[in-house]
Amino acid sequence: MIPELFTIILYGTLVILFVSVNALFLVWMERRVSARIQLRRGPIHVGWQGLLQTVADAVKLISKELVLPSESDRFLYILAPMLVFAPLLAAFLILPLGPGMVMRDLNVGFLFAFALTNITFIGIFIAGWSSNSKYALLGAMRAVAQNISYEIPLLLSTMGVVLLAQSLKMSELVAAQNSVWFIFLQPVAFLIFLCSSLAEANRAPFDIPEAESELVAGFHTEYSGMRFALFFLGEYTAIFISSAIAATLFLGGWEGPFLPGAVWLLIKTYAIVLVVMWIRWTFPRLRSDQLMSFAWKVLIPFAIVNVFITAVVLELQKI
Amino acid sequence: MSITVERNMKQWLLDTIKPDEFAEKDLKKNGILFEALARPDQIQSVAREFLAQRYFLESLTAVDFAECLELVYHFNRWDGCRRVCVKVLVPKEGGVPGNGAWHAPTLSSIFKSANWFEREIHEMFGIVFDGHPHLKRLLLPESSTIFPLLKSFKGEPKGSDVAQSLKLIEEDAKEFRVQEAQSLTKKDKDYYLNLGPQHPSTHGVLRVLLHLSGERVLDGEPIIGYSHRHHEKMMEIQTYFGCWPNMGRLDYVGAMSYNMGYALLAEKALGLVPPPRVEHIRVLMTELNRISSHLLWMGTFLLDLGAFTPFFYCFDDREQILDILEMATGERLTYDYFRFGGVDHDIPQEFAPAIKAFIPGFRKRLADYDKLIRRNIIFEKRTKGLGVLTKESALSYGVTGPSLRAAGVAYDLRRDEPYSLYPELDFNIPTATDSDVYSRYWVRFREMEESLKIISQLVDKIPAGETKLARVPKNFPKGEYYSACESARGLFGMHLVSDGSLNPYRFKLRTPSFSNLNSIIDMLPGCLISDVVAVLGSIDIVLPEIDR
Amino acid sequence: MTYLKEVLRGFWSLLVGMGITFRYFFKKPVTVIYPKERIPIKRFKGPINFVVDEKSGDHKCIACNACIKVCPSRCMSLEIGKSAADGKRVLTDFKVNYMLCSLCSLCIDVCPTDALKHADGDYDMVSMTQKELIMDLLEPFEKRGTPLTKIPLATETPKPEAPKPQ
Repeated sequence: MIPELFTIILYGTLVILFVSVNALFLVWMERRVSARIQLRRGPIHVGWQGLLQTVADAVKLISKELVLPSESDRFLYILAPMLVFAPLLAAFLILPLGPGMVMRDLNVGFLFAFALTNITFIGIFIAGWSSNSKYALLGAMRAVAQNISYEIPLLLSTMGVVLLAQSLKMSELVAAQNSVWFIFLQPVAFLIFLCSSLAEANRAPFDIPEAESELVAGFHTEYSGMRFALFFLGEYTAIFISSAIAATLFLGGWEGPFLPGAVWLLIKTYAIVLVVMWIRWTFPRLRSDQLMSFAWKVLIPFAIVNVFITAVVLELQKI
Repeated sequence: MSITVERNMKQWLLDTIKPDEFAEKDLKKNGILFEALARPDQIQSVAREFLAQRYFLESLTAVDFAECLELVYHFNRWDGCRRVCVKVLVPKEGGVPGNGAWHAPTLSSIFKSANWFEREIHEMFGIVFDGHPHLKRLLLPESSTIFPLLKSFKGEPKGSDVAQSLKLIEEDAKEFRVQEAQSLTKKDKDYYLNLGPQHPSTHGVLRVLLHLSGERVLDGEPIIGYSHRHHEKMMEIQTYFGCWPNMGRLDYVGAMSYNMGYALLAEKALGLVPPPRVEHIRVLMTELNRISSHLLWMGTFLLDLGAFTPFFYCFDDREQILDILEMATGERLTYDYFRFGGVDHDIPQEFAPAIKAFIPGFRKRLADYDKLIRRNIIFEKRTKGLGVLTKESALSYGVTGPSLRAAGVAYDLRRDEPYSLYPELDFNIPTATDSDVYSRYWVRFREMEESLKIISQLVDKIPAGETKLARVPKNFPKGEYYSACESARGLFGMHLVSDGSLNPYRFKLRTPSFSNLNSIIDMLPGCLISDVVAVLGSIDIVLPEIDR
Repeated sequence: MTYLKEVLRGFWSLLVGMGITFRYFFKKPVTVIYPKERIPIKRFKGPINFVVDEKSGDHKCIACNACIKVCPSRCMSLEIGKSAADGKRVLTDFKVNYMLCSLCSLCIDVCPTDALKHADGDYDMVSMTQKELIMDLLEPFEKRGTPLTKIPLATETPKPEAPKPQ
């Protein structure tokens, strides 16, 4: 009992540490990537290649005043950032870092992660609702609508992979990609998964809940200081998690020569994150109604067709 | 065809209206074809007839004379320069400004653009327009009690009573709350949203009051005046030379066109002929500035649509243009480069080679923009069929510039009222037919190509010679002058009343964005909030130019 | 079929866009690290300054007031004394309020003796106090003791003709 508790606390601390460092690194990476795409240099002065810039920003955010808007719902307003951030940590439970290196190799696997990350949207809605701001409320409404629509193609796109691996377990999914990565067998599913996870993480071109040129900052318009930082942290962690799941489902997870499994997973995850950033800095933003029609008219039909074809091909192979 | 229209118009005026005064004018000198003085009760029928003959209300202003106020209406048509001027006298008897004793009939039911023009005259001169639906202060603070453009106003600004302003704003807000409460009891889901004045994509300090149902806009109204500096009064107390810096600070993005406008006005009035070298330099500068202005627009417009990266590419190109302009002017933004009959400073040796080096790189970049932006499916979906401005609406609002050309009207003053070197140059006037946000982008994009064409025609042929005239008179001869030129945003007109002294008697600046922004009232209903931002971006507004 | 075509066309347009940003990713940044790197400036409008006459090392101002009259922002002021020897006008003070100056070059244009110019170069001019931005153009000449600044004045000086900078 005692050692069990001890490991839980140890794991928890490690995850929080990793999440913070990872978010700082991702923000730095985002800045540098966007700068290079935009013919700029990005942060270069603080630390080696500006690596410590984000640390400095974090220090600034921690030291900022926490503003509470008048006529806001105090309790919910304070609760919302935590509700956005905390469930994302739990998703680290199922990430397989190597053979046997999974905290909990659940038989529902990544479904568990998706279930948890969806709680963040309740947090986002609470944030928008409790801020007593029209911009924030509009952002929150958009976020919820978007999340509900994109959950469907996200899960449908993974079904093809599940059919191939005959399992939902993360370790078995990785093992099934021993010979060939699923991205080659399921390219359409990968694209749909990427799109949907971008939308789930509110990333451009699907960043309509926070669309800064329309809604100022969307659901976190009224937040400042560390509460704002938690939203920020949550966003980057969500990107990391969905990229890590994508790497596990489609790019063979921890498998790779020479280097340990965890390193391979990180490399693959960051490669996907890079693509995500690349997409963000290329495209304009969609409009909310177009976002919906894209999900319902393009992604979902394609995902269903994909699952159907996969099933048919598998059945034909059996015969 | 249009000449007959004009003759008919003249005949109609003479026969039906029987103006108290009628005078033919010289287009080359005064900028108008003829001028008529109508009685106040006739002006509405005059305006109706002008609208029926497809004239638009280009400018409406007032001049304060000792015994009466004069309302000056300028009408113009989309085919060539058909500018005519109709005046109405408002007698000054019966009191002081502000007590509502000075009356004139409103045109706001005929020309939609008259709405804002009349509100501006109302606050600046104290004239009450009978039947105006919304006669409130437009540019000055809500609480101000001054009428700055009256000659009796000696510049003791009593208008900036902050407490009083706040009180009035509070009352305004209360009114909306009441409306909101009423709408709630009606179980409608509509509410009001203030987009701005501090908002990332209002391109300055603009407030758009949106009446929303969910995210759908029921109607919206732009509220302006936040960066009002009163250039017109400023120029009245300035000498004619002293007006130059104002030209750079109205539309700071495309300041060269404003320089051009003032230079044209002066040269018309004084009968100066600038040397050929000057003309070449001026056109080169203006076109380079037009490109840089369109680039800035393109970057910020895409920023509104949520695409960050094109903004930086546009600024990269714009910086290169600014570097070239800086060589000659020493300035990067608020150009103050032209002079009466000349330019401030001769261009350096490296000027022409720098332009030649810039052109091929920019052409390549234009191809990249096309692939990155216009061909992009998201951009297409976001912009096509959005913010449609009908031709009728454009006529009524007096919309000019690329926004009008996107509606399929090839009205460009560089062609229709040719000035400087433009008659000799080979360039096209890009138009589009759909009049939506996409068309406006596409027109401006091709305008950059056309400007580039003009530049490459001229850059090799800059003749040697003087860049300044030896003697320039200090005062303009007595009279009224109107000059217009095509700025990056549309028709920039200047109406000058000179009394022969060293200072302008009255300077009216007809800025294109003022009328263009007014027209979004017709474009907003039915949009989503995301579209509001796109529509606002697409008409290319520069707030200091609107607020003046 | 048109639906499929539309989706494919859209997908292709997105790929083309990404191709362009990919290309720009490997281009050299165009920004310069400002205090360390500087772009040479071809023409720069600095604060208004006196031209130094090459022969005498003196300024060329004849105190004619032309620049004061033309200045749209009323940022200049000068004071005139009377020479004790011949009663000619002598410049005793010339101040430019740089906070008001709109850098329009009109004073330079209008000067009959070409005595004024824009100071070159220094584009990172900063000042911690407003006082530093009211520039005394005569000061360097007085320090050097050029001939024009040493003309003895008649004791009774006329009133300053122009308003002081605000």
